[in-house]
Amino acid sequence: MSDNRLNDNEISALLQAFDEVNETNASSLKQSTTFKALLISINIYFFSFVSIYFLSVNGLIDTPGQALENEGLRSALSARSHVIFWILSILNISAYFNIGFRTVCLTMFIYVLNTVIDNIVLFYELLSFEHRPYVTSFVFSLPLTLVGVVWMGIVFQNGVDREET
Amino acid sequence: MIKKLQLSNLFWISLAINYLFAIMVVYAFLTVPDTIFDIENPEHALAAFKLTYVRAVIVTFVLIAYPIVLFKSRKYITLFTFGLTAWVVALYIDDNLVLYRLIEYPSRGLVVFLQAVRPIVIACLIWMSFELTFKNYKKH
Repeated sequence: MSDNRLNDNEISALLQAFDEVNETNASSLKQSTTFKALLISINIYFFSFVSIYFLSVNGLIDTPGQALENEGLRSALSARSHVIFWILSILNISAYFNIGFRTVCLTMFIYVLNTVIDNIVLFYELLSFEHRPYVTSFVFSLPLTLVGVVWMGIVFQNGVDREET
Repeated sequence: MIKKLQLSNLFWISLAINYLFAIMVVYAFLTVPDTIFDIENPEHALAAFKLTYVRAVIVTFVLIAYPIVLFKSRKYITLFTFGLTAWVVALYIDDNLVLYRLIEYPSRGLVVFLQAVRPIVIACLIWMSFELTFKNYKKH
């Protein structure tokens, strides 16, 4: 039986060969400031709304008005916060590893656009800054994130773009 | 003209299934009987009706725009198909996980059938997206 184990020099040569690949994949650090600002803003925006929802629905904080008294609105918000959590997680992972970021951006854009349409069609009569400031501000500020997602997709630089420039 | 696009037979079959489904959705919406609100929760039926109205308008637009984009640009049809797939999946998730307490579709035969075949339509769209993204395309 032949002895096919690698020695230390060969292992270090292999590791050095893959160093470049790792550097290319972890490209999020080389993105523009605009991209980083947009990514952080979108994360903060969704994280704060989802946190407020879960804290108030579990009675840990008081939400002003009748925000979550409507059962339909509450169940829709609950399910949407779960979906948006997973989309946001995939967005961050794809941004870090530089895999299909624009595809995830497009998916997020479509999902948020669909949410905006659904909210306007189904909940328009329930929206009021006086009675439901939390939900209303969320619904009316959601279209802004559409602009943010599109902008983020445009300014994102993947490995191919950088090599061309 | 169709051969120039270098797409498989499965792609065209998937496209035909999607067109058939979309036309049936529009037909089902246009021929809604007045009795759909005679249920326990007429508000839920009204919500479903309003949502379907918006969706039917978008579907009509897609039915017209898809062949135009398909024969004009390979790059944009890939994006368009991917966006369409994402939208249909989002609708499926919305109807089954998010809005299931708010909307109620009528238990009419055609609507029940359309609800049942939705996963097949999604599978066809996913196939089309994959083929457009990964199949090599040689420009003449």
